[in-house]
Amino acid sequence: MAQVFDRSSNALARASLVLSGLIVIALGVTLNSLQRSPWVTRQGQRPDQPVPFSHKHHVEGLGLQCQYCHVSVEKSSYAGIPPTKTCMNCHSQIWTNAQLLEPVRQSWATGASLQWIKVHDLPDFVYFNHEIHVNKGIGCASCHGRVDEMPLMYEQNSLQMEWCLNCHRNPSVNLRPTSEIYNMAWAAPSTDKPVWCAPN
Amino acid sequence: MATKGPVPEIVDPMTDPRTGEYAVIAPGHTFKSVTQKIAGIVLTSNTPVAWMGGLFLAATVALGVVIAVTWLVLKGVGIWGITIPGAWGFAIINFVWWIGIGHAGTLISAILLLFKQTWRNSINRFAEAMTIFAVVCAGMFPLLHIGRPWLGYWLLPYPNSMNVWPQFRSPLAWDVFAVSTYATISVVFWYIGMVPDLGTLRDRAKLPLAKYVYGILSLGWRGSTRHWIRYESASLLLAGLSTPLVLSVHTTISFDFAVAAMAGWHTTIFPPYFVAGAVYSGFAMVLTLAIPIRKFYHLEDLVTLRHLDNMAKVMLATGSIVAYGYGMEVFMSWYSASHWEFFMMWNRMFGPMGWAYWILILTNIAIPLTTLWSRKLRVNVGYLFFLSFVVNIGMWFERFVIVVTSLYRDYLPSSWGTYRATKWDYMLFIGTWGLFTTLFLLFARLAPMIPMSEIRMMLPQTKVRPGGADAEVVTQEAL
Repeated sequence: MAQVFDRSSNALARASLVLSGLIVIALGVTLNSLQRSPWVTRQGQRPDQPVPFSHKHHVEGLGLQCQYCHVSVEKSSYAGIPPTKTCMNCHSQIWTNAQLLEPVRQSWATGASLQWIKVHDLPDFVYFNHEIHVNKGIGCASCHGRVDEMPLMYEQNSLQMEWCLNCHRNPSVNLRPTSEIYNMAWAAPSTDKPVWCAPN
Repeated sequence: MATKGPVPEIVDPMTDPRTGEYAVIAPGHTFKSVTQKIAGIVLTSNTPVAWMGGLFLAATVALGVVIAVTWLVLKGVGIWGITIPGAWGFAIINFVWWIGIGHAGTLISAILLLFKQTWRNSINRFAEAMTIFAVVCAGMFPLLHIGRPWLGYWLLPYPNSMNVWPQFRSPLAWDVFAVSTYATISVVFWYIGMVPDLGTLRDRAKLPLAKYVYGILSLGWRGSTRHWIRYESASLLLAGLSTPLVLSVHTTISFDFAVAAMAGWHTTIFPPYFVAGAVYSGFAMVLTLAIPIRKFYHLEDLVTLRHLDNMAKVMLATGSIVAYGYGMEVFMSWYSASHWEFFMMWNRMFGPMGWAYWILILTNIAIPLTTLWSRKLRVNVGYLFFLSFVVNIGMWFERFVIVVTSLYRDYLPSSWGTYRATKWDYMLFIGTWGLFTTLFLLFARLAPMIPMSEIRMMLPQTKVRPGGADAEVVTQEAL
């Protein structure tokens, strides 16, 4: 009777054992990193906004304070996106012919809102409150990153639950004096954050 | 003068006339005849027409699962008859029922192995298959009855970006571990037990494809002494692991109820009483399967009246424990002097759903426990077949009574309701019968239903010492 399996089957059988172990491990590692990947969290993605608004230009270049536009951040759970009126405070006078600002003028003329795309879009079962964080010493940059250096807005942090919990379980590392909330470049004194263990 | 005649032979269908011993399997078999008989069911090109018809029918019924689950996922659990006082209905009843059915398989393969009951050998393979397919049917229900089945994986403890873990104090979380461990161990035990037989199938197969497939499945089994020693210790270890497992799995399932504060649920007797009920219904299902199988495949020599008699005895024993459980529940509801307990039992017996309780008493206690004492009835195949259905119905009603009658009338009369299953409840339940039967028919056609290697070891030939009078016969047979 001929043999059903020839000698090469030995190698195949052994390889299949090792491979299935490796596949299981690889699957676990993949799923684990997938759930935190930018593909899921949308970190770093810059969606096409109706107007390519540059925080870098308005904050770093012009020196606007955050609350000039995001007025309700200290008083409301919602920081607010400025209405067209805020844009037109200046842009009724400057860059009045810029093609880039056409949607803003359109919105001003027609009264239709600009359809900004939310970059930091939490699910609606999360009741995030800006006011409490800002008033208790969490600076803008801690959560939103160096917005003053972002020509186009993107999400710096994952906004995943583990990220929120990491801070809520140990807030002290991120707390700052309330006078420094809007200081994008603020860094913790080296007594709190020794240089040798600071990120970057 | 009265002459002393010969002592009249006791004609007992279960006694080996040569030795007077209890015949576990019919006499006259050889290693070859056993193998031929069992392997012949698998390695034949003639698939029985009745088998194909049965498979077609079962698969059609199993389509009910597909339809009911699709509609359930599209529309939500509200298509079922569950209400707010009675938020657990058919899904949980059927879950417990199916899991209970599975338990006999493990009892036969593990506990009876530990007790060295050789009569288990003829029935353990398909009882284990029954376990696995029953767990497949059961496992579906906990996943489907959660309103968002696509988030079922949240019940598993895995590191996630939410930093959230399951609540390890909930018996429903224990269910996940119990059922998944149970399913895994059952499959492993079943498969390891099948390896020598798959080797036999590989060696006897004529088709190259069959040789190849059984060759892969038999994992290069050569039947060497070293193989057998390890096989035996692995089997014993798995039996030793499965035994506490089988007891704890149904205990865990009973905790789903017993941990709650509901009158009629909060009972400390539930764990052992559920396990006994599981074995009771499980053996009923083994009989439901064994009786037609032995008839259809002419396996009367291997699954003898002795097996049926023993299974009926186990049913009698576990049925009595269940009856004790019912009695104790009634006694305790009176003895507790708790208004709620008393009302629960009164409502169970004489409330609007009292009929379910009396069906339960009739089918689980009145019919089986009065008749199974009679040996004549225990070896009456037709009666046992009928009885196995009776007990399966009864055990389904036991879970119905526990789940529904405790829930729909509880502490606050303002939250009393009722429970009426919808067509989707029925479709999913009946569909699981189809699924179970489909899987079982495929198993019967493709795998050795009876462990050939273990049956061979039970033959009288194995007891012959080398050099004895019978040694030559054995050697010739082996060749």
